Amino acid sequence: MKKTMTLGELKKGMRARITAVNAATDEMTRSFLEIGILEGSPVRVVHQAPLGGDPIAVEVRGALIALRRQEAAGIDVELLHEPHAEGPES
Amino acid sequence: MTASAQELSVFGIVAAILVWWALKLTRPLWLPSVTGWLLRHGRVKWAMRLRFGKRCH
Amino acid sequence: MSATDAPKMIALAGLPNCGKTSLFNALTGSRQKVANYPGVTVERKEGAIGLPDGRTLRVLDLPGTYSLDARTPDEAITRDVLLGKIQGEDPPVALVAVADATNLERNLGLVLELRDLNVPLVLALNMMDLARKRGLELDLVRLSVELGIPVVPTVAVKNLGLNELLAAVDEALRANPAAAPRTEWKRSDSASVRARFSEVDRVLKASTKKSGTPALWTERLDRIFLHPVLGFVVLASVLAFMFQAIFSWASIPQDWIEQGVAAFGSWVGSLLADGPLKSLLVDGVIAGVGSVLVFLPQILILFSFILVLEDSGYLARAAFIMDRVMGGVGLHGRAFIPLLSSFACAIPGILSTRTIANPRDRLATILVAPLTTCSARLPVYTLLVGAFIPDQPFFGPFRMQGAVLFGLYLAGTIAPLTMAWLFRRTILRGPKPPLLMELPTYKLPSLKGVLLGLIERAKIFLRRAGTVILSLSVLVWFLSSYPAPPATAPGPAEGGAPAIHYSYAGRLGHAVEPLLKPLGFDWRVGIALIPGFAAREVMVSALGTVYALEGDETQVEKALGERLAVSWSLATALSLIVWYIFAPQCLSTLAVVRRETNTWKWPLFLLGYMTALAYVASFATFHLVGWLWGSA
Repeated sequence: MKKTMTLGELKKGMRARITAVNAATDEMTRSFLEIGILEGSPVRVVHQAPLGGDPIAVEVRGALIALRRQEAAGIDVELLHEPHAEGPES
Repeated sequence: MTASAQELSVFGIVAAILVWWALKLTRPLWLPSVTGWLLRHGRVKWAMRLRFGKRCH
Repeated sequence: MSATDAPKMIALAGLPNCGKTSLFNALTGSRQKVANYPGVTVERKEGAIGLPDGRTLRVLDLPGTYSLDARTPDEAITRDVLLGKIQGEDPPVALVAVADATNLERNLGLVLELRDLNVPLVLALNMMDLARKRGLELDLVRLSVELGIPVVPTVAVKNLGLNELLAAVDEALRANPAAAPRTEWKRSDSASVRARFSEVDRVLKASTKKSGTPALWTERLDRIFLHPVLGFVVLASVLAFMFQAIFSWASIPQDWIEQGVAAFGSWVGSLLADGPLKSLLVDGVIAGVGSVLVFLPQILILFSFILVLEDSGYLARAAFIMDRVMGGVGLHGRAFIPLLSSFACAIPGILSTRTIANPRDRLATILVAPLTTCSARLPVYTLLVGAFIPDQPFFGPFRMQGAVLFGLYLAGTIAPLTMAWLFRRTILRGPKPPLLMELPTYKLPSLKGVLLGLIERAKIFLRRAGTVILSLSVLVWFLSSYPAPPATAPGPAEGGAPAIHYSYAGRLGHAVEPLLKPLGFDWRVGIALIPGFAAREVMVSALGTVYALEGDETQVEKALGERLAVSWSLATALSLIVWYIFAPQCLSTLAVVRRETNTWKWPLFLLGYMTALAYVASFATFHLVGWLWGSA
């Protein structure tokens, strides 16, 4: 089932495909695009930081990019599939 | 070296250091005039060296 | 020198972490020169390559950038050099785009941008061995055709592909003898960036026979290094190990340097008759510069660690973990690294803020870096802690002296963070800078790269010691020695004041005494603070001079410690320690801040706010301790 969420809402281990990149400023949007966060790219949340799960590290276009959930909220994604049995503390 | 010769050298060194610092701190003030003078007298290479350091050809 | 004979200059450009610097090192070996671009503070790295036919090629290593749309001062330099906008600098005649072959889907974006500049361009596909190991199979001919430029696979760290690369560059230069007019570069909009990446995808699809599998080790290691609990433990251990190493490994080389300096001083002293010049050279220059040289081992060790951690990719993880803390005070996660460097010396720490994009963020980091407990504070800390804090057990295996020292380091960590928070809330207000940082794949740090980096740091440090510190040592010596005491005055052995009492420094010390009395300091401390303002390290020897003690540094320190324990109250000692935590006693730092911020405003502000902090804290300490312990 396809669900539209933002990258900022994804939990560790989730995979998705980027559907829209609309950051708070045009400058930020361009930064995202240049670093490879583009529409159509698959993305996977690989890690989250020890203190409070923010920032997150996502794998996109072959690289591991760290960003804060707050900024990741400007990136719409559609979930590819729900990972099974990922506990809340991982 | 006699004591008085030593004394003289000391004052010389201290004076030189003070002059160097004064020049360093006021560089933006005297640089344009000095480079201008160098260029007018055909010393292009020296002017460039002064302005940019030893990188330029 | 005619235009055709002058060595031509090419530039290396590429994304951060594409191995560009390894390629630069492989091509130029040790024929490198680091300077500054005029007017800015970004490092300019140039090297020279000897071509087989005897010609020399100049190579510029440009800062890594994701696109010509610059975000940090580093990236702006890359853009300006490529567009020929740097004053006094001709644009490079050819470019080598360096791309990480294991990650072409991102690296090719910049290559396309560079291609649009209409300059002779060659693509170096670096880390080709890793890509092949991961199963990547590329049709290099097709790729070259699609991109329209020659493509050369390289493995910089193994020196492979270099000759082919140079041949391709030569070929490209021959094909375009005259510099074609540069196309006007416009800032890309989102649409063109998207279009650029579509083109990258298209090119790759056409040229890839088999995609590689992603690196597994990086993710495996990250599961530990970025683990919610273990990650912290690892970081704390790495830092603890680093600090421990800085002190224990440095102690032997430090002793060598001390002995060497003392021996050199004696030798020079033996060449001259007694007199002012001899004193200037031995007590002024050699002692002054020597006291700074002593820190070289610590600085080099700290830097080795930082270079190794950065090269391996771990430092980005550290910044990732610390981002919450940094962000909490309003700083970027990357600000962690300059602050860490500042534990050895704030100067390289301030220099490394160049990687911080946001100017307010960078300024905040620069302004608080001097509050970190740098190595230069240690001599005073060890002197006073040794003399005044009893060597008793404190808590479990920890002893009091060690605990106090740890406390001082803690203060040197909390202070900068607190001030950063304050600044970001008041004068440097602004939105929290966004975090968008790549975590590179882990790799084994290159020994050559680390060594070259260290040599560079050592040269910078020595150059500073040779110029600023040397001249200051002479001036301080002068102020402390002239005028000499009149022949009629009783010497210290007869209960008179030490010779320094009569000098300019002595007069300054007495003049300043009323200001210092509320802090528990007398004119002697006042005198010692004067050279101490130029450089912290000098404080101990200055105190030694004021109390008219003779001998080499360790003798002075021990004797001084005993002397102070008797002459000073606990309140005064603690007050001085606290003063030392905050006081801006390093002219070199102020000079660097001036250079990095391009104005006198900020170094003066730094001087002002830190002195104010020091005064208030010292005052509070003196009176509080005096009240609690009842000493005068």
